[in-house]
Amino acid sequence: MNEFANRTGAPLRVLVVEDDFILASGLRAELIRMDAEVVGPFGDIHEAIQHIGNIDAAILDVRVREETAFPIADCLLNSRTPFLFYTAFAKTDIPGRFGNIERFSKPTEGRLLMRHLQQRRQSVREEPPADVAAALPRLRLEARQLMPEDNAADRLVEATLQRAIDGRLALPERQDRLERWFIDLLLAEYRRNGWRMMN
Amino acid sequence: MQSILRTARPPGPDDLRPDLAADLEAIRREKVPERILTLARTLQRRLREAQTD
Repeated sequence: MNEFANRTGAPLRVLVVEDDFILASGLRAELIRMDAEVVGPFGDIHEAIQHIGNIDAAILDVRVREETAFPIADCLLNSRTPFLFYTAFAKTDIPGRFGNIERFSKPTEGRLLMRHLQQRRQSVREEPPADVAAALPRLRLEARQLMPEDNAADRLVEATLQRAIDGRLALPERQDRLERWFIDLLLAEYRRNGWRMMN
Repeated sequence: MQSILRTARPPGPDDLRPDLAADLEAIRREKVPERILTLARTLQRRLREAQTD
């Protein structure tokens, strides 16, 4: 039995972002020996980010060529995909928003990395989804800062929620991100159609 | 892909202006219009479905 299978019993698809060829090759071989399906390794974050919707977990080096993997980490947080940092960077060099993300120094045995990712997958599944209703007061408040009267503000909120539904947009599943995400969507809707809702 | 990277926005600190805190509390006590609640329920259902997929 595969210790690191996903919920359907298929091999865990693990994105690897690492620009050191030797480390990347070694890690890839180790993960494959554990029956994981390796996506990558990628030494370019722009290539790697294209695979985010199609993986179960990720191992990220922090410094990738001249860039950092933080944009990928943000997307993974939004999609609640478990990941870890595999890096020589100190914890203090990693932005505070990733404070809950484990950092493993190099080299670390692949099995330890996989065990950690598997545990993260378990805990993510047990978290309740974000509460949309809890984000509404802040959203209505933001709308009132933009619109001349309360009814118009609520029309803007409605249009924002409707856009999220019609556009089949992927909502962040974490509460702390959902509110910010809605506000950004509200501002975009205001710029696009706000004038129509004024009266 | 470049555009995704540009628009990925890190969560900042809660940037609610202090002078709006009382307004927010007042809105929390208000009744939410039914139309908004209905749309919110639809989105909530989608979140739950995404979690169980």
